[in-house]
Amino acid sequence: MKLLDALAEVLLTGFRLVPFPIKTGLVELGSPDRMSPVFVTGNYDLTVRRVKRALAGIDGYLLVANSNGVNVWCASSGGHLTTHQVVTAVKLAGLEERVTHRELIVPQLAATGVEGKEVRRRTGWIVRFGPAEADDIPAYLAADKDKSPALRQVRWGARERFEMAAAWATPMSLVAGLLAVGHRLEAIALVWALALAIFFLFDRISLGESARKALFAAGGALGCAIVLAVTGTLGPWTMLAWTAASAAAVGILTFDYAGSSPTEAAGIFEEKDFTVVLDEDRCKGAWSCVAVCPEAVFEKREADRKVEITAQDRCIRCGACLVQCPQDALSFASPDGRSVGPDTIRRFKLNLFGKRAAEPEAESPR
Amino acid sequence: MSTYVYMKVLESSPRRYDAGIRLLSLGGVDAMYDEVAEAAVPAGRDTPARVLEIGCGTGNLTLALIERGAVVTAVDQSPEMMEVAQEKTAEAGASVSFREMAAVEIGERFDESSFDAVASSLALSEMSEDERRYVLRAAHRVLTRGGRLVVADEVRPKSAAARFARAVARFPVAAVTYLLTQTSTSAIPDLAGLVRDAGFVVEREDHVARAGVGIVIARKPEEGATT
Repeated sequence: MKLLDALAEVLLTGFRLVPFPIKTGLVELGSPDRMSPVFVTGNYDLTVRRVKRALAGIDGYLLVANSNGVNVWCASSGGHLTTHQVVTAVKLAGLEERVTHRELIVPQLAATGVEGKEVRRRTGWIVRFGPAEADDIPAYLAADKDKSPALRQVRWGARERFEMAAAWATPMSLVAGLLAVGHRLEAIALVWALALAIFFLFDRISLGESARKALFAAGGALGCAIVLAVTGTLGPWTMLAWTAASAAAVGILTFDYAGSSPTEAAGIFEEKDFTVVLDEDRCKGAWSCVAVCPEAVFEKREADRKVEITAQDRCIRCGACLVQCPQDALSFASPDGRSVGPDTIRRFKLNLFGKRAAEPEAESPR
Repeated sequence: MSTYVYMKVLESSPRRYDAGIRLLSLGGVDAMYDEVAEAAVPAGRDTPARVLEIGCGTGNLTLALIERGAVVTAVDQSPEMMEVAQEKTAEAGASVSFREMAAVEIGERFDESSFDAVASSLALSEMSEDERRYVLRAAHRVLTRGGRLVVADEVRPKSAAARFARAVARFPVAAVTYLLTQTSTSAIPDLAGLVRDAGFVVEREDHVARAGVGIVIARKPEEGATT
């Protein structure tokens, strides 16, 4: 059974771009009692496996909501795991008969889709956003549900990078293996090398149009020069091959990784130069933005009980802070003065390419 | 023709939903909207029928209901889809009450016996089994006695051969859809049975063969105990 589980996890990791929905509903963890915590997650197979593993030894309930078989962060950003799916899961589960408290521990990364105060208004249940990573749930409970910055920030270490590389390389390997007749192994090795290089080295590179052209020309020329230096001759086919290779490399290096890397910012509509802005007069120090921001962009300012934007450069425009702010004190602003407010971000979700479908003029500046 | 796995592709871009779904159902979907609306709003009423629509999406059934003079309250959990529905019905000059909520909420958001009919198309197949049952019971609660329930959805063929043929035809479509949209729908095995279990009397079952859709027309009993 252990071996099968391990195998399933390897396969699910390799094919994680494909959704694997599992049964929704309430799952008992250990032997819960009436005070046991209730954790919420989406119905993506790999997610539920990992959450269960992270919760080993903890008595409680796991409420699996319908996220269309998609992981929590993608599903909540993309409109699959929203307030309504949590409301539905709560209503169907009959939790009120099982526990005396009324608190749901919802994944922090669901905060772009699940609006805490709406869930409360519709069900009476209080939403408390847990840690960014399921693995940190025991630490979160041990700290009495107080989240240190380490528990709030999404991780992007070697393991996470490898998993994303594998998620791209596995399906691409199948394609390469089918197409590259006679050179199957080389093609698959190239795919993996590229994927690993991209997610370990290049995911932070965001190049402009002119840099792209320069890189393309340099890559092609360098390749030709190397061939010329090593072999002494340079045929037209070799030059063509290096040009094509250079174009492919530039394409890969400058690909928009929004959605595949937690450091690549999402677009507001088609644009990426929006920044998050705070209306200090509206801010009442609820600090929900601090609790949900996966990149620790905000810091509490205890002196006047307001919040301060201390790391604007890390903001990936996921919108979680706008969605959760009870005072609607946050919004996105473009350099030319347009504004996108919380209601737009609540209504219009991100598509697969990390863009929102709304029109910028849909909302007038506050 | 199980083209409804495409629904999710279409849903992810609400503006293209209508053209897409019409094409994929070979036009069958329009016949379905008309039949559902016709059954939900019988001609010859003295007062306009109060209709609750569950899962209005981009508002195609909503439009068909308005055309027959109904006063429609439409609920959906996607504000993006509802935005399209709102534009469409506004163009038609009708006023519809659009409410964003999960289908499971209708039982408590609306008063008991406050609607003459409840209608729904292509919404139940997106729900889990227990969600369908919960929603149908809630629909029963908000309907007046003698009121009509009309639901249309993707249904699973009864014979094993037909199911097999459907699965084979569906596989490539489902696989591509899965890759593109990360979602799928599940056909309902026994739609009429579900409706009966929620306390309704089934009056008629119909099929829009082209679109692979079944329509169940049922009534909340006039008198006597129900669920």
